Amino acid sequence: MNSLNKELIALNKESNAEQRFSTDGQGKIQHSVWDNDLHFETDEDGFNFISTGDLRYPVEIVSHHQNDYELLMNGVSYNFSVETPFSIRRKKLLATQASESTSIRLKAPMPGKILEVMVRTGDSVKAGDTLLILEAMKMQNAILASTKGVIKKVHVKEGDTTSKSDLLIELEKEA
Amino acid sequence: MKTKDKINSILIANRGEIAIRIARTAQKMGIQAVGIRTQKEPNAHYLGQMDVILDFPEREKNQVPEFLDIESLVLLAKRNQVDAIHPGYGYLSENADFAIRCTEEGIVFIGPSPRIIQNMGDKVVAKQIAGKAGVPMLGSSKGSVVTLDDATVIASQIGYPIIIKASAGGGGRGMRIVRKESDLKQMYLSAVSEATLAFNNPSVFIEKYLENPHHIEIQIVGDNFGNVIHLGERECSIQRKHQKLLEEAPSPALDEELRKKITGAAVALAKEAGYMSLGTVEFLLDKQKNFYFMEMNTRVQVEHPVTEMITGLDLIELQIRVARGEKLSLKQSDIKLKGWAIECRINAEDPQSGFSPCLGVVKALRIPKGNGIRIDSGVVAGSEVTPHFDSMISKLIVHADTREEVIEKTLKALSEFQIKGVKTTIPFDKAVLRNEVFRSGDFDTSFIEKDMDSLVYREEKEELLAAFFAAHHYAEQHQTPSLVDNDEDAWTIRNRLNFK
Amino acid sequence: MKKSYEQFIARQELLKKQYDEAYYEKQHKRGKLTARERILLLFDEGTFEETDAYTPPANASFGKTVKAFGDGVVAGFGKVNGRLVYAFSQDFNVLGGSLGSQHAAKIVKIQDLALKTGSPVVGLIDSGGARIQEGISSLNGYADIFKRNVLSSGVIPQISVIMGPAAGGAVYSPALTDFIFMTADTSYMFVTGPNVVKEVLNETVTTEDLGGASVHGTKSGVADFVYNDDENTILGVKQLLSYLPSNNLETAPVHQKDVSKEKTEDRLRYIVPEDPDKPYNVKEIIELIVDNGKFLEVSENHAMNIITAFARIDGHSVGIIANQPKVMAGTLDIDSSVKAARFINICNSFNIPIITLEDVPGFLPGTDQEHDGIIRHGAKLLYAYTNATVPKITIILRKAYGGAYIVMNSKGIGGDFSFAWPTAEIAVMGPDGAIAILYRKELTEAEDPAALKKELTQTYRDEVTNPYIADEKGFIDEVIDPALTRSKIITCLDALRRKTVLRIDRKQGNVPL
Repeated sequence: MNSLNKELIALNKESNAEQRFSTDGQGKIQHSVWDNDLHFETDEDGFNFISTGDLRYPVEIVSHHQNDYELLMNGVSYNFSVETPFSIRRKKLLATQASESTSIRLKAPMPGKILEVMVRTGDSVKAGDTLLILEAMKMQNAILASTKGVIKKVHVKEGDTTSKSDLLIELEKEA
Repeated sequence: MKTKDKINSILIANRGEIAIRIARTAQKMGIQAVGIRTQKEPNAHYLGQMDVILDFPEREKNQVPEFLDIESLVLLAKRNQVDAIHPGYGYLSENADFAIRCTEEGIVFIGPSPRIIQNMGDKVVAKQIAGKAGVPMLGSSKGSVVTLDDATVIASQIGYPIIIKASAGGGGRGMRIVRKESDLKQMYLSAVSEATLAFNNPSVFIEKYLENPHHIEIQIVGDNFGNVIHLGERECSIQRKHQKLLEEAPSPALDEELRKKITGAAVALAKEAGYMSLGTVEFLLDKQKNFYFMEMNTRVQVEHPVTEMITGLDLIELQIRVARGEKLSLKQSDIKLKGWAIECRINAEDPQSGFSPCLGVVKALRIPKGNGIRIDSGVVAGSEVTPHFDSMISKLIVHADTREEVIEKTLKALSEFQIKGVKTTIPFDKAVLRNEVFRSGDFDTSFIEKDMDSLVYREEKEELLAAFFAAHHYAEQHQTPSLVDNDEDAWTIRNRLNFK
Repeated sequence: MKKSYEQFIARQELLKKQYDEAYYEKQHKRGKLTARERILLLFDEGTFEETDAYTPPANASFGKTVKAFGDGVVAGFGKVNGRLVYAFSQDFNVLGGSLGSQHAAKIVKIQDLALKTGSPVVGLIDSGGARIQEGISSLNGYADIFKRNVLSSGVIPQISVIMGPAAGGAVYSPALTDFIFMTADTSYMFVTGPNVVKEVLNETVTTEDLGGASVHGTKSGVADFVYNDDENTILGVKQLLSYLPSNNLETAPVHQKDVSKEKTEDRLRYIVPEDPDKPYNVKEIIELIVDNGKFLEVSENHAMNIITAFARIDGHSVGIIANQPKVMAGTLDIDSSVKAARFINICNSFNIPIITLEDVPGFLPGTDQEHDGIIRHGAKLLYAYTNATVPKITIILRKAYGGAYIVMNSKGIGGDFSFAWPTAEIAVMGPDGAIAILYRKELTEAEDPAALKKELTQTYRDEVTNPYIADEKGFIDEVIDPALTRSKIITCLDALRRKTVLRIDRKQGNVPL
């Protein structure tokens, strides 16, 4: 890290809220508002804690890739990407370019087995139509079309096992 | 039904926390606890509690799941000369065929007799018995509804909204609410298929559906001599898609008078049925405080610990005693309900994504301790949460003198309960306990849907600290590393200069 | 002196004017950093020394306000995490970053210096291609660069970072270097662009779909690394450099040991399932073995049935190769063979020991693979392993069947140490295939073929595939407790640190291509 990046921004990917920090390039960071010192500790059972003032919470990194983080704090998920002022601007730029895209990718909300596929490539569907049934934990989950459109591609077939976030169906949005 | 005077060993036809629970009581009573190991989780935590472990014979991929395999289970008990089988909850606990096979082979089935299981399991017969006992009920189909056409007729007779339920079991599986006729076909067919999947039995029945009732259940226990007593009620209205998530005893919705009426009805029903062993009579309470009999569960329930906490009794012990032919030593007047108890079901599910199941390994576990705090846990550090079984991994049960106190005590216990490696419903439980409507005690089964702003509770400054952690971690990754001196030795350099 | 000094300052001011606000904004509007910003991000603060900042394009006239100081590239040297590195950063804002003869000369200069001093070269590519006006001179500029890429190959690490367009001949320099980075969404590389594709083949395709990071990071495997944006890309380059030495006579810098790891890691005993057909994620094993659970994966999304990654063990840089049972059951196919072979070659060039985690049921069968030349490409992997003279350690986690067993760094071809976990199964082929062939007659005549097959499978497992047989015959050094894998590797690496192998002189081996 050097002079270009004296500022880091933790972007909450769900709420788009930004938390700003300044960094000295040596790994020490300071929040723009919160003054207190931070402490990190790991106890003998393997739990990581972050503490400041009289708050002390367990925190766990579920996954991280480049600057994307999925954290669990007190068992609650947070998805952040660590950005700089420049990269936030770049993100916004690319987002405006991409919103012209009309393709929707439906992913598996949980791991399970494909029980039934109701649609084929080329079928027209409307919002709320059941596209396929995913069985998980002995319950059946209907995967619905989020908007009106045409089925572009079905990536799974009956009997397939899927993991969470696997691509199930690509849908071309209709205006 | 043959009763033995002595039960020396019990085969526990179940897994997870309930298997541990049953084993504990059995061992306390000097009875050998025999557990079953499946290939799906050969290193499961519950096996550590058992005196003897039997391996389930090898099976093909599409065979009936282990704990639903009647013949294999009976054979295991017989071959190993085990005196009794305890089915726990779920699986075959309300399967009359299983109870019959046990009895045929001279094995004590720890539960009611096959006849009672059949009767109470048959929603039609159960309602007949309730009618005879003078217990109030809702309109329903007279028996199971075998065809879609029948369903259509019956549904319009009873009047929408109606609910389709699986005859062979509960837990929300095979259950569908239908508000208008046009939805009936799809709901009926999917209810039947889900029921077949969960209970190996496609049979469903139809009932009038009450919007947003209270769900109250009464714990009863009976012996073989016609004695039946009740052990108070449980409040189970905190449900999501008909799955209970948080229970308490007693219920804030009942006053003494109502309690007397409901428990009276429950005992009357049980006596009319000739009930023995543990049982739970479920009622729905409408806005006008009228109660209606729903069904009777002829097994020990997941949430039995809250009753244990307020009565000071060991329900499994009662169940075993009664099963070996003892007379109930307690009279109704002996039963005193003291204090208040809450149970949080800790499921490996993500409340932030529609409670989807979380699979993985429990990397670390820390459970709260203290007076009035009880943990029934199916996992320990190193346990794997697999898709083969239910997602409930632990139960937190807390007892205190008053409802206000037990809520605060439970919140404290939840913040001390830490699991690393899988997401759980703990933040959800916190959100429930902090909710004003919940705290007022005036909630019904629509609570989760209507009264919760957020399905997870976020502690003070949580987001800020999480952001801090992410930014700190990132900055640390990209620090200049500290190096160690690397003396290259002569041999290596010489040969690198010479290599081809 | 005063007048000439004033002239000197005036020229400096002209240079500053070129790099004004508008210069930065123009590039930022594209979502990209400028060439100057990128190269400054790469080097430690205050260490960047620019060369030839004032060089104008060839054929430029003197005295005019030439807004083309530098000829479209910023070149120089500095320290990256304390080590001398040479770099150039093409400037899309200046003459479209196009390569003219002076532009090329600047690059060539630092390539020469890097080779003389045994330092890595990092090229930040963001260029419109050859400068049409300069004709053959610019083409020759490319030739000069390519020649040096080849002469430096395997001598100093060369890293290409595609941060904008790279088209036509310009892609060959990166292709000749050791690693290619691409920035997602704002970079692309192809030999022939969409316009010509449309003209000649009447096929409409966007730059992203033809040669964007999403394509090269996955399908073609041309890009070894894809990062979200410019800054993360540069940070990624720095991370990669930390695993490599500055030249082929050195070893990579050694970091502090990871003292937090225990000698035994119980969890390793439970990751590989008892059922040999059940998949698992080998990355969980890698995390438990390497320092701080950290590793840098090369070609993460291409040929995902094999993992190639840099990591550190006890502070020393190592290369990890692991079959991934979660993807295609971990079989070897064309893409994975080539991916691993390339990785081995780089490790070999730069004295990085190779740790192989093996769980491979064989090569992927089928006409597609055969017709596309799995024979040739599989041979590449075999050649690479056998040829490498760095320390080579293999741990067989589960399956190791047939040709794939030999190929994955078996002792026979030159592996230094081969260990097996108790779950290992080493054989010519798996039980299903073997029993079908050896007992065909008995199975057809049997009363209960399924039961017989089950019995024979167990016998096969007991008598043929279990790792103790290989241990006794010496083809495995030891069957080890999985919990002690890391400790074992550390001990062996220590023992092999001075390993050298002498070979017979030859101009070059005939590597299968």
